[in-house]
Amino acid sequence: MSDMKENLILEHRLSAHPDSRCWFVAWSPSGSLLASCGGDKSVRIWGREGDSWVCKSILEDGHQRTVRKVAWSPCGNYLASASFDATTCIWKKKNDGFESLTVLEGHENEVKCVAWAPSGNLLATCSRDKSVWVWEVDEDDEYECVTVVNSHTQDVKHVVWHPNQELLASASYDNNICIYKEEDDDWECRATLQGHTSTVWGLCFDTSGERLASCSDDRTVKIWKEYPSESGQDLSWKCVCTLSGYHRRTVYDVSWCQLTAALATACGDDAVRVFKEDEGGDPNQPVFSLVAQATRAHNQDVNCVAWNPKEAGLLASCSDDGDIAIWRFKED
Amino acid sequence: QLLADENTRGANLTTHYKLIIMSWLNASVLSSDDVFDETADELSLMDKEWTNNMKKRVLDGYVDGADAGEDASLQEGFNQGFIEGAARTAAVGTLKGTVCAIQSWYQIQHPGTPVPASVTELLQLITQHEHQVLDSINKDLENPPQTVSDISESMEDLEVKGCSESDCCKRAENMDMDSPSQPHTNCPESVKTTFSLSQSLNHLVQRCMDIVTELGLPHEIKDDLEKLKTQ
Amino acid sequence: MAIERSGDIFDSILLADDMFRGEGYREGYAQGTCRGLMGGRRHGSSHGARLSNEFYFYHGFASTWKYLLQQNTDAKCRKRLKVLESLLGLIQDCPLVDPQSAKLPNDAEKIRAKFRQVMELFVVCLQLDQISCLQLEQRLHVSLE
Repeated sequence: MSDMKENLILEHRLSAHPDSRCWFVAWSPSGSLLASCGGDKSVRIWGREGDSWVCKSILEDGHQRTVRKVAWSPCGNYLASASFDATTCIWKKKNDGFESLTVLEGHENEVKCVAWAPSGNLLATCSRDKSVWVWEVDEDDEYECVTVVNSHTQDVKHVVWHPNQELLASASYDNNICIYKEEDDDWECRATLQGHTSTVWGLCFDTSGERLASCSDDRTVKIWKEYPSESGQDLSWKCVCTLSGYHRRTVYDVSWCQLTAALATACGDDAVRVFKEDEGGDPNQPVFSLVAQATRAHNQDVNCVAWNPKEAGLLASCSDDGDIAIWRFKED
Repeated sequence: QLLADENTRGANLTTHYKLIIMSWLNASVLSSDDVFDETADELSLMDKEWTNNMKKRVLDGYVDGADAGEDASLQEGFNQGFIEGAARTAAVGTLKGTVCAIQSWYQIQHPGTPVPASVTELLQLITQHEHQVLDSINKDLENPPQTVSDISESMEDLEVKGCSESDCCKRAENMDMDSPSQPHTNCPESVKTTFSLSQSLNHLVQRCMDIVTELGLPHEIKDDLEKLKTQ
Repeated sequence: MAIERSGDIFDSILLADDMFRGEGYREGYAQGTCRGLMGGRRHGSSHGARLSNEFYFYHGFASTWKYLLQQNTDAKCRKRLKVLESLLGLIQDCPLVDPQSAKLPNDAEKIRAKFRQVMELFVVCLQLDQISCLQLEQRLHVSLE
């Protein structure tokens, strides 16, 4: 274990949201900026200056309550923030900072997550009100709801888009994962992935989009693989691997590196872990091994992990302790 | 008269089995040589006990039967009621949706201008009406039927003897779609309520049609509204 | 001989037992059926009334907006009309006359979701008091569940 720890080296620790929680971090598509959000109702933008990381701007006054998630548009010029105040704010880059462009209302209560589709034309939000909404963005920066789907029976915790298809996945307190596809102007749940025995907190597709990682309150991470469907109608996803025994508490987030295929997890036991798939295995029964872990990555629950999209091995994590940690993962 | 019938039937049965008992007693007990003076008293005692036992049997059967009957018919009743209830709120729901649409249309078309009072007032009246309709339906829930234990108790007292097909079932069947609440009593008050509810709905529909004309909205809206009126 | 006969008698006593029980059962069953029909009917009418009130509200709202929009030809209106048509279609197909239909709960969820989209499209421009009026409407239905 101690050997492994050296594979994950702490580079920086930032007091990002002091006296509050840091809920989520997201790298800009170019990998140069990191956005964070927290219980202090703000979104902060971090950038490298020389050897250190500094706060470039603070986006305040957008929300009345906790900001739970933040997402960059694929072009990097917009940010979306989802808040417990039931709204989603869209921010537009202007000069050095960001200005509030519009506020998306409609959810009945806490918005838990927001995600931009790879095309940049669609935005998904989900909420404690059990629904998933898809919004369409037109050329005039106007947002219009194109669908509301109620496929979950409980709080929806997370939404994520497929990297190269218009396919959306959501995770919920009802222990299930739903996968949606557009059909005749309407989005419909086309597959329900059952297997977790408690709340599913996070989801992440791999680079190809053929596999989906999910993490849960049941302390496991599951890898799901898409198979050609038998009926031809519904999508078929099967669980091909379950990582259990590694996490001592709830796994809150999972991130699949687009460059190295390393899988990082954020856990309620204050640790950050990195797994890698064993080479040469059966793709239908992949085996993942723990290759690095920082057992005391933070003083409290780790809420989020995010691989930098351009710089292999650069990992950001954030925690209930309000900090952001930046790690360097080195392979043997 | 139900009670009387029941007692007669019960008495006949009791007599029938008393005879069997007597013959049994004759055959076994009385055939022995020990004939005591107490026999007559014992017989009357046994008679009483017998009656009590059989009464208890009837009661046990009754309670089981009541449960089974209720279980078997609950869903059927629910389905019937569901369709009836649905029929009673369709018009007011449609009307309210229509007025809400007109209101939101007006606000989009005339931003900054207050919605005409005729529209907001009508919406309030419709909401009141909607509550009256729902209340009249919900009133039924406030008069739950007797519970099993209530009925067993009355059975014990032999004061109430339940219903028969000629009684409440028929009344339930006759209860027509529009008569709200209180199926227990043939209540002229509820008929009056229904009448006034449909009157007031017609009136509200007419007011909505006037608004459609006033605002110069598509005539199809009026055509649809006309269908909501009850004759 | 006495013993043999007494056997018959005991059978008869048991038979009597069953007969009396059966009598009571039949009476009880009739009474229970009445009670079940009445009770079920009461609950059913309340449920049916609420669901129908909710869905016909959506229907009235959507069909009125459809008439209001039908002259417009721009792309945005076409899109909105399509959403309205889709809501009206869902309500039309909903088995409101068959409360036991397995489709009903799923259809109801779809209708509610679609109406929320309609609300977002048509009510978002309204003043705050108006929005709260409609949201109240929705909440009312939700709380009645």
